[in-house]
Amino acid sequence: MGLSATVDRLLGRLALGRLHVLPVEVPGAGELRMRLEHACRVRGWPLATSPADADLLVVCGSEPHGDLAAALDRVWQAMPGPRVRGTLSAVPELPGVLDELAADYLAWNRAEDPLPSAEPDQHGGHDMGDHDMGDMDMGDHMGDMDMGGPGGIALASGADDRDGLEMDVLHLPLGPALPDWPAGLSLLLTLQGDVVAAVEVTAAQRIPVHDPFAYRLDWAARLLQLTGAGALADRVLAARDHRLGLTGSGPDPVDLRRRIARSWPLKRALRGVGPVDAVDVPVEWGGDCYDRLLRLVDPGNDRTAPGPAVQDLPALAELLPGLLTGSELADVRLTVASLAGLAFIAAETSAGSPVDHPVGAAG
Amino acid sequence: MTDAASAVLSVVLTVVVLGVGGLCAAAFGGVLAGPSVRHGLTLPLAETARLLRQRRRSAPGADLLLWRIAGAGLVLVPLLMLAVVPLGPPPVLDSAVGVVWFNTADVAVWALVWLLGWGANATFALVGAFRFLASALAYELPLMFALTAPAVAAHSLRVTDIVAAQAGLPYVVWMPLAFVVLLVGVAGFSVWGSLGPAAGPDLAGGVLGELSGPDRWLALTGRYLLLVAGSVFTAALFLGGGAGPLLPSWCWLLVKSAVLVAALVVLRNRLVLLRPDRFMEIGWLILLPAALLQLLVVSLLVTVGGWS
Repeated sequence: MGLSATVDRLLGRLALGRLHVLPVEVPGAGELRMRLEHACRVRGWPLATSPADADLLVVCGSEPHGDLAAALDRVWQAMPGPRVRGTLSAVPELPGVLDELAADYLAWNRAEDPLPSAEPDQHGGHDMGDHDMGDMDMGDHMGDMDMGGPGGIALASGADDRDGLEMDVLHLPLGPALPDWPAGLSLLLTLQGDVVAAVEVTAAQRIPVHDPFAYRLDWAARLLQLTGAGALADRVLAARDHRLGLTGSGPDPVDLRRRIARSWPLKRALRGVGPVDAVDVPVEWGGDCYDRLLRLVDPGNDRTAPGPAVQDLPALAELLPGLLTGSELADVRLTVASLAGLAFIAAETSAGSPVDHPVGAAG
Repeated sequence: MTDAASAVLSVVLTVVVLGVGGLCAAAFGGVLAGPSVRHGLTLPLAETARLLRQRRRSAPGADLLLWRIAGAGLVLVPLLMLAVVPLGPPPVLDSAVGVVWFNTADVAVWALVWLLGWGANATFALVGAFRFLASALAYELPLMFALTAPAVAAHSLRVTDIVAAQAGLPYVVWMPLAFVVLLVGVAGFSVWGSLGPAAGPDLAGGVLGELSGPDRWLALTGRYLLLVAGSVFTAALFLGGGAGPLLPSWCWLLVKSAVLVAALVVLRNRLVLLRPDRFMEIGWLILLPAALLQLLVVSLLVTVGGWS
């Protein structure tokens, strides 16, 4: 693509008004990520839906290691470029980081940043089939390799599904860098069609937080986003930003809950999705996604009551496979999003617990 | 004006209407979504610049030819759809079966959107492609019957005849169900709003998730153009096309189409994503009977009552 330098710069300047940002949260840095999202929204920069859509990759929190670092590398490889990678480790850095990344975006040079070659890389016998969606997506990878497929990657092999039909088996990691996905959770799904045949929890981490209600609002917004109710999600995000002190006024949480409870399409979309029997798990996690959504936006839950103790963590990792197997991919996303605000976070038990925030503060 | 000059004018007008319509739809969507009006209005320009500057990439093993054909096709099909609609001068293609032509074009979208998902060689994209096919099974039959109603009333499948037959009363007044069903169909083949789970956020963009650079630009533009083409066609078929006092016919057609496009853009985020299994119920149990009932009523009114 032979764009001359001046045209490239001009396009870059025009694009500066709408850079797509992919924030990746290191577990524990949720509030940083929320502030970053708010800063992007104020600038009019939308959040990227996938690495192919992203211009800026911003890691929120301290230096990631292990699985998250590997996931970030794959996401970086999947970004087409112009692409810039940045880190946000503390709140005061925030406006500066975004300006810096914008300048780097403008100055990006294609020659200095080549795309990786399309050759699939071999990892000890396993063909990881370099699918450029990083941890969001892995096309086909199976134990016994038949290297005859396109791009040198094995074709998916078939197996009987729940109805006894033979369908291709695909393995899909839902990993840490996926948008609208809890930071501490990694799953490996075995899909046939879009029905989950098996779930393996590869990482599940509970995150101690300072202000659980802000996280609940955040997850309520993400659940609404996944359901498609974007307008309601934006209102909940405004309430979240107000809660974090980022804006002077926000929607009244009581009114917000009423508005959500009145929405009949929302009820029809979420009723019966991801039902959890509150037998071995806290009552709060019980019901279906709709019940959990209402609990997430309920300002009556704005207490510093600590969530279930860390000993419940194995129960969570055991709960997910049983809950998710047999459901569709969409239901998996909705169920995990509804549980994330309730089950994946816990109020800090240290002395620095949040001061009583006025409930239902109408700004 | 000679035939050749008229034909050239029609072609240019079709392209211009589509282009400007798509631009306005995108800008309007931006104004509704963005932090400020000015930011929203510059959305199409900023996104185009960003995407033109982006490199193309694909997953290994992606079927590049079919994948890119799908993207390009999504921009060509709206042109074909609009070719049969009179925008002032006679249409580019004054076909005697214009309604069927439009229907064929929207069925072609099935293949294009599916190829976008399949060609990418990625799981999320593939799931999105099949979601689209399932949704399409739900909206297509009602759409076909909804298209038949104005044709029955005007005794013709030619779009110019249907527009002319509405000189007295626009069809939306006595065929409201068919009008609504057609609009649902337009949203369906544009992968828009509630009928857009194929490109949904729970699939990390679905069929659009792997696209980058000019390929992405083509697919996104194609969606807007499909929306505009569908709206103009609906305005021609149900709202009387260019009929109206004072203003010239092309102006009225644009105004009516703009109202429909604006309504669809506003409704984009207001409802929920209708997943194919749930939409299937709605399509077959509500929309299809409604379209058939409407067709029955129209047929009775036309044959027995002598309406047209």
